[in-house]
Amino acid sequence: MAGAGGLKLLLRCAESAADVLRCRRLIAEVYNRDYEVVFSEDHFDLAAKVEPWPHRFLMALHAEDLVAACGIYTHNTYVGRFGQISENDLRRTVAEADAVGLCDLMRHRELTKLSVRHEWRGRDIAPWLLGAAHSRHFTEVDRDNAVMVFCAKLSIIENLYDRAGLRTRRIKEFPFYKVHELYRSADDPMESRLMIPALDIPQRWYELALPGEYAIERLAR
Amino acid sequence: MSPAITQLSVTFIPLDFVTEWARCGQTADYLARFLACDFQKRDVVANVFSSVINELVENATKFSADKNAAVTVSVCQFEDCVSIATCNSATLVQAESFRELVGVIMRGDAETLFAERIATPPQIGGAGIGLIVLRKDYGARLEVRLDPGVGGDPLSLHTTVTLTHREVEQL
Repeated sequence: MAGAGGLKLLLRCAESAADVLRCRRLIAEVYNRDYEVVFSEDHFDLAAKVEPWPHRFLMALHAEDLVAACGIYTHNTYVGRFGQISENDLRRTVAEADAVGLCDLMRHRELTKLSVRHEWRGRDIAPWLLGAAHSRHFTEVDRDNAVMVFCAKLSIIENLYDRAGLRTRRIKEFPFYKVHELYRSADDPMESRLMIPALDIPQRWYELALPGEYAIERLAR
Repeated sequence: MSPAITQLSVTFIPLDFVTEWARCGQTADYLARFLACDFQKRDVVANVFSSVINELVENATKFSADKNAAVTVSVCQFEDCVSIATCNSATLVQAESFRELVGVIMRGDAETLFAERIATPPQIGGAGIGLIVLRKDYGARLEVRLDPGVGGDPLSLHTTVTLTHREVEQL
């Protein structure tokens, strides 16, 4: 893996109200510009493009600049709320992975709203940050044996998840909502997917210490 | 038009409303309550004003070309009418498209237009239903004015909705 111009980023969880506000503003700016999405703490309406905020955030800082952020739903995941998946869908997916007993299917986490500031794009921050966000120090899946779920279009799964070496397991196609009209397309549909941390998250990400400063690696396609 | 009897303006940064969409409704409620004080049926009138202001605040936020450039929303009470106005940054394409939509709403029959837009919504983007409803349900008069931007700055889009006291009090 070649270095991405020696770029180093400090990764840390958002802790103060000011940290959370910075993450929210960055994500809102990116998502509104790219997809016309708006956000709310206690109200959502996917037909009106109003999305629920994640519960916690991971910050990627260059000196004092917040250049990227990623959120996590620690409960009430997006896939759970809007993916129309059943308990049977999850059981089947885990059974197909021969992973029954390795995780608690009643507990879900979901990384979401990974956003890189527009001026910082083109430096391969996104796939690296996605991998890093799977650190147990951010997801805390080691505390309760939760599974990871997410929804994304196929090109994102290929360009980010696959490049980060994260194994993902298809649950089913994600339903169509107005909020995704500028994101997905017929040629690039969205899917709900599941990850079993013990099997699917490489150790380099799972054990990544947070907070920590890291040189961003250009991950191979 | 005679000078305003009462007026109040609020300035906000659209990104703050994108970050928490409930702020649109909260701002609309606040300004609506301020305006409704002068009417007998305060609660009913406040609901109407809140719907109108919310529609304008949401539009001004959504269509601001620069989400960090201030938006102003003003409410004015005149002798026989109320005006609610927003001013936001806009690109020429957005502004022209919005002006055209308002022209269609003001020239056409609001009931027919509403039925058409509900039956065949655009595949991508909005149908302007909110603005049509202001015309259809409240008899609102809509106006749009564009001010050129200075240098390379975006345009300033001024949107004004006027409601007569008579219309409001009949609701």
